[in-house]
Amino acid sequence: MGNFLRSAAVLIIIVSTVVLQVLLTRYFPRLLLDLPLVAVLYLTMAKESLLWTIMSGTVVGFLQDSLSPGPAGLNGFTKIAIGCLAYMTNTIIAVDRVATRWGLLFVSSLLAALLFLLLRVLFLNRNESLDGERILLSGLINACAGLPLFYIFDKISRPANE
Amino acid sequence: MKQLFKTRVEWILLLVALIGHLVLLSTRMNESGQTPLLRAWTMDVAYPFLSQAVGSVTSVSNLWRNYIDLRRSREENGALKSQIEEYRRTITSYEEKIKEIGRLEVLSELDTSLSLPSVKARVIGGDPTQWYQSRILDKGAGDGIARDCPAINADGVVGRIVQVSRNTSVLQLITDVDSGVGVLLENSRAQGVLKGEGRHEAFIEYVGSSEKVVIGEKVLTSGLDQIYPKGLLVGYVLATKPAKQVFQKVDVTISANVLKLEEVLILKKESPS
Repeated sequence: MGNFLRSAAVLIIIVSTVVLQVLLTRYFPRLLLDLPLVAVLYLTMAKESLLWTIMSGTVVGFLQDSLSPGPAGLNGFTKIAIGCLAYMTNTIIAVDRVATRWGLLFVSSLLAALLFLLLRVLFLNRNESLDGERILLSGLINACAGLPLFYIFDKISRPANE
Repeated sequence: MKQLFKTRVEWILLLVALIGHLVLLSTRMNESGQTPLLRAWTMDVAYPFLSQAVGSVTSVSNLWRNYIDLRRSREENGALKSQIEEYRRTITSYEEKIKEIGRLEVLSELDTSLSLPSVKARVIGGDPTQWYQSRILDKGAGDGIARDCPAINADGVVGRIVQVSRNTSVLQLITDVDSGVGVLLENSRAQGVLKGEGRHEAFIEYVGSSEKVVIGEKVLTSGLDQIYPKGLLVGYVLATKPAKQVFQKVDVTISANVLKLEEVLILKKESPS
């Protein structure tokens, strides 16, 4: 029952990040925060299971792709790939300190942006111009917003006695 | 042991008091019309204390009453404040409604002037990624919306529908990097393709270098893309730059404020019949 509830909480986290992202960008169209990416990275580090990374990346990516004009699979791939990289990093370096978590979020965000653009160039034949300033700013925002969000996610998905 | 001693003292005090009262009662029987001197003195001595005490009690009583009044006032104040807040909210919502009605009226006027089947839709969400310029609308296939239906508002073209479900649809804004709109310039009649830059601005590709483009010139839909009807306002020419070989790049500012989009008018596709 406990596992079921925790899994339900995780599912709620995943869905709610996408919903929240949609609502936020409704009112702040220039927002550079990628909440779903933060959620996937959180699950990767919290669950320490690649299965969770894949599952969450797929669900989040599918939801994002479904609600945006882009082709399906682009966001899912990006999320899973970056989630796996974060998972591997987590197995090598203990990502439990604030600084390392911040660093992981920042680097993951940059890599996710680059991978996203690369996929668009390779698979959609788009001429992408690399907006370095925007990517860096997005990375900073994701990293700074990710830390308190990790804490909130922790509170939601983990029981009090843990 | 200590408890027992205390009880004895109390008993003694009680007896003394009772006896004292009996003595006083016994002396009253001999009273004349005047107040006995001892009693008068006692009264005089007692007066300042009593008056102070009464004053204190009155003060405390007043203080208490004031406190109660203050509390009531505070409560009343709080209630009034919340009432004012409620009124403010109501006024704000009325103001919003009035603005919305104004916008919808403009859309309705546009609707009748266009004489095309259309449906009004409300923006219910933004883009779930940070890479596209799109909006989620509250109308879908159930309302007659299909893919590639153009969307406009009172200021001009805003985009086209790219995803449709029964109750909702995704609107790709003309500022999206993947968007392309067939356009022509009002005066020079030069044609090209308007591409989004991912922000509020866009640019026109494939405008010949020999074309004389005037800054501030209106950019209209050409209708050649088979999506947007001809003659709809898209924006104004901002600047021109020489581009590759025979073409020039024309920067355009979009007339519709796509960043603050709330309602749009979706032009339905006319059936072949």
